[in-house]
Amino acid sequence: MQADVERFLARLLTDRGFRERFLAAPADVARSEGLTPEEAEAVARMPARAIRTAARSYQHKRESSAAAGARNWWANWLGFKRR
Amino acid sequence: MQSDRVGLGWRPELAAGIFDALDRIDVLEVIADNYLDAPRRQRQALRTMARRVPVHLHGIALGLAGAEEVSSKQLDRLARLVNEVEPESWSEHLAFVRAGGIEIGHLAAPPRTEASVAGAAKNLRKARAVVGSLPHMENIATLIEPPCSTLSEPAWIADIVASSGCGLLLDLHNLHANATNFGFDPLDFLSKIPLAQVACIHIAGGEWITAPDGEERYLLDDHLHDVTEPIYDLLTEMAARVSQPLTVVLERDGAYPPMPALLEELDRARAALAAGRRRQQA
Repeated sequence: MQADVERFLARLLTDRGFRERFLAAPADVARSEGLTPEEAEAVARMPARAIRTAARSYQHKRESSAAAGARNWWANWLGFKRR
Repeated sequence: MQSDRVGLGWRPELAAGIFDALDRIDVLEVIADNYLDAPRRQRQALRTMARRVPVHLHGIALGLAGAEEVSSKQLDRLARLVNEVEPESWSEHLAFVRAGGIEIGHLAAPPRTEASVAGAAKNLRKARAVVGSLPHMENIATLIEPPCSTLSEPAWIADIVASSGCGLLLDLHNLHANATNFGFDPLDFLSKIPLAQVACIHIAGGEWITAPDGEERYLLDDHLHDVTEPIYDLLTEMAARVSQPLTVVLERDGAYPPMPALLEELDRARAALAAGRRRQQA
């Protein structure tokens, strides 16, 4: 289901521990998160290198946003979400 | 008939230079999210600026292409800003930014499926109902090919345009980065999306980054570097292929060069557009 895969991707990109557990046993972790066998197989095929690179890029963007403070729109957004 | 226009993304760091060079800037694109909670005085200043130069509002946090229904509260705040500023148009991204209570903090590519086409169309209908107009929707860069996709990116974009009636904001650096990282021909991509619906274009620069294991490089869309030749070539290609006027915006988010260098990039974009228009008439 679309929402399940998006939730899985969101966690993969933001939760380092979850990401490393997934990369150690992709299909098993995907199935344990409630994805269908077909979805689990599809996410398990994602290249580990691309996942790690993307996650690092997202992390960098979040940190840059926090460092930039109020001038940065992502910081504003994340700050708003934290309130 | 309106002609092609070339402008710049409004950034507070560039404010003085922008006001000094308004005769060379046809349009300004303003990040809407920066003004949603801004004091009244800042919003009035934005409204005043929009009376002097055409302003486009660019949203980044709605997540309109996600499976989750777009937040009514977020749309209400955007609608208030649009009503106050009266921009020429507004735009958002073909992306999801949250799922299941998790905020990603940036734009992410959803699985390209019939379900996400339907979800985007539903969110866009709601956006139009609340804001009063449809946004132009922008293609995003991604380092991960979205899993579980059943549609190619151009087919997915074409289906969202067909089902929602939205216009497109075509980001040429995002296209170039995806084409480079995933090994497809950007000209083939252009031949498969509804080019007649492209109203605006983004140009920007990026940088090569190396994977954590040092084994592979990816082109990252970071908006921190100068626009490169392949982007101008794609801009010429667009101007040669479409008949409608195009509004081009240079995005720069940091590592700002002196204002004359940015204005030179705008002039290069104008030259690229003119070359494409000449090719079309030949």
